[in-house]
Amino acid sequence: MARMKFLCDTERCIECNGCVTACKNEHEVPWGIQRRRVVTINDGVVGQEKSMSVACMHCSDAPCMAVCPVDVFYRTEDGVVLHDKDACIGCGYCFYACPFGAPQFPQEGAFGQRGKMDKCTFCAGGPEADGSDAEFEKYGRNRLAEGKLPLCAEMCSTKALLGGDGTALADIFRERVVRRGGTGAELIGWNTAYGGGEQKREQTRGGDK
Amino acid sequence: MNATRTVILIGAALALAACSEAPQVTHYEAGTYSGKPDTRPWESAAYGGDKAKWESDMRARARKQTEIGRMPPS
Amino acid sequence: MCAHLIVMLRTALLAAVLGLGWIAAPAVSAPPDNNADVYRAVREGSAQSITFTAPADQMLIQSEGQTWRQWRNGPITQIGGWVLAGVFIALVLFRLIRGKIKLEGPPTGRLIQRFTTVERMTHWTVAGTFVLLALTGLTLLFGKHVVIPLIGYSAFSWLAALAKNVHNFIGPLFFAATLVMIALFVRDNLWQSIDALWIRKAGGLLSGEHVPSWRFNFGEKTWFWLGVTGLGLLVGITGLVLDFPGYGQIRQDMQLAHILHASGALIFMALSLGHIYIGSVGMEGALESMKTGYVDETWAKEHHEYWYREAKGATGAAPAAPTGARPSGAH
Ligand code: HEM
Ligand code: SF4
Ligand code: SF4
Repeated sequence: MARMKFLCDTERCIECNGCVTACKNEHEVPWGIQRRRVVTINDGVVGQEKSMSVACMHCSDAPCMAVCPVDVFYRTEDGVVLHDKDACIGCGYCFYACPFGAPQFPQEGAFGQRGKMDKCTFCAGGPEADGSDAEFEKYGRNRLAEGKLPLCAEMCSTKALLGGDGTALADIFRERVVRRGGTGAELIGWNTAYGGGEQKREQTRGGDK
Repeated sequence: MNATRTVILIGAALALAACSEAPQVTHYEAGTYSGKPDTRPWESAAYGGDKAKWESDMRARARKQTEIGRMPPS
Repeated sequence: MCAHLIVMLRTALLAAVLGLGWIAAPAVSAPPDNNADVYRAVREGSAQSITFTAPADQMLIQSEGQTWRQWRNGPITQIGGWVLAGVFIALVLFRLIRGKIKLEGPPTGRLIQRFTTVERMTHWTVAGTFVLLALTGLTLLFGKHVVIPLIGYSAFSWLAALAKNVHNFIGPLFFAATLVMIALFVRDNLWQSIDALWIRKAGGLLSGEHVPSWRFNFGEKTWFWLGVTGLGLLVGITGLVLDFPGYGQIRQDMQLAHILHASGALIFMALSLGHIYIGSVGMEGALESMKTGYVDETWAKEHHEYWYREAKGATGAAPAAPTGARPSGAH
């Protein structure tokens, strides 16, 4: 069974923001919201500059899911964390809890209150008929249902950003590390995102279900 | 008075029930998630429920993200 | 050649194990271009560069979210729930054991004004908004566990949206009314030497004895300072921080504000149960005073003897009012 993950290889990311743009375009993301962002560490320090693209990591023991007062989140069988915008009340708790700053909100109504939460869907849409207008409007394209992987990763020019089944990504990354000769053990964010409960539970559950 | 007492006791019981630990993470396994249902990716028009085909397609697609092996080794 | 291969394989294995497992793993054999230091800095939550300005986005990974989650889903939900339930049960028991605190003497039929119209209106505004805020706040905190199993997911989402909006709009009103209330009542809630007696006798709560006091006894003063003033301001200010995002507060500020808000609110609610109890079903004549503004002289004499004497002294002879009616022309 697939376990969908994102991986960003900081040895390769060149901060082109192509993934951010691709995502915005593919899903026609609401004004003021970017589901993905590129963060640069040590900007301008020669030799130490690292960039990485980050969005929702689709956590194993997802903090957003744990704190949502109305339980709008669900995890698909392949580990993608999705949410139901119809039920979201815009309280912002998921934004407080998320380690990666993934949930974002359009400003709405009086006093600029939060509207319905928007975040990366791993290009897997949401709880509407696959490929329907309603799904596109609320969540964007459902590429997984079309047999495609997230666009940000698939179009990444340096293949820094990878998306797909965790074991496949780990294989690719391992091959790279071998070639490079020893650097790149830091799969940044993986422990935060995938270290928690569900993964452990999956391991002890033993095999597919 | 008796009715009031019953109401109060039921209220107390409910208030106590509020404290029991419920699982905080929802699992999307058939029948356990109370929210709005969603179809799975392989249940789309493109796959018509063929999970095995979807999974092998996804794996093939993931492998396309590496350039290693595309060129003959030097 | 062979040794080189082994080194490569070992590195690959390490990469897989460490990479999947632990970011801050010890830098084994520290290759020159190891990034461990860089990422350690990342986990300390420092601000990084991005190509657009949004303070929250500059932080790559915020560990505080996990702390907030553990506080909110842990002690606040659990201990908070128990404390509320515990106080409720304690009051039920108290009522069963001690019964309603009745007037001892017969009512005289003569009434004394205890609260002015402005005071009563302020009190009921605070009380009404408080109850609304408490109910809607509890809906957000416990609804997932208590209400969803009862009414289902879709209906609850509707209820929660209503609760959130009522809470967010009523909150500022509660805050304003609380400020007015503090201003109105602060003078009579300052320390008076007779309060020491009340403390020594624990208010006569268990013995049933009446401890003399001025306009407010020490129990009421405690509620005023700890509840209305302390918790009211705490819950109010943190509530405003949460209510109006976009005035420069960042996620961490809101997490802290939320923890203070929710724990303060739970203590506030627990204390308020005691206040509501004594002001309604717990004591004869208390509700009347806040409803009409007037109390019977017997009540005044039994519960607030010094204040009663002062009021009598101030108005000279007791105002002769017809039984049960308010004296006309009261200010
Ligand atoms: C000035 C007054 C107040 C303001 C501005 C205010 C505002 C807020 C805000 C913005 C939230 C976050 C949830 C949301 O956005 O819907 C919240 C949560 C909450 N408030 Fe208030 N509030 C106020 C007074 C009160 C009072 C008086 C109580 C109870 C006695 C209360 C109890 C709660 C509770 C229990 C929560 C939920 C915590 C959780 O779900 O974890 N609030 N409040
Ligand atoms: S990255 Fe944030 S939004 Fe995505 S699953 Fe984890 S906690 Fe939820
Ligand atoms: S903003 Fe919406 S999705 Fe996020 S915790 Fe609140 S209700 Fe849930």
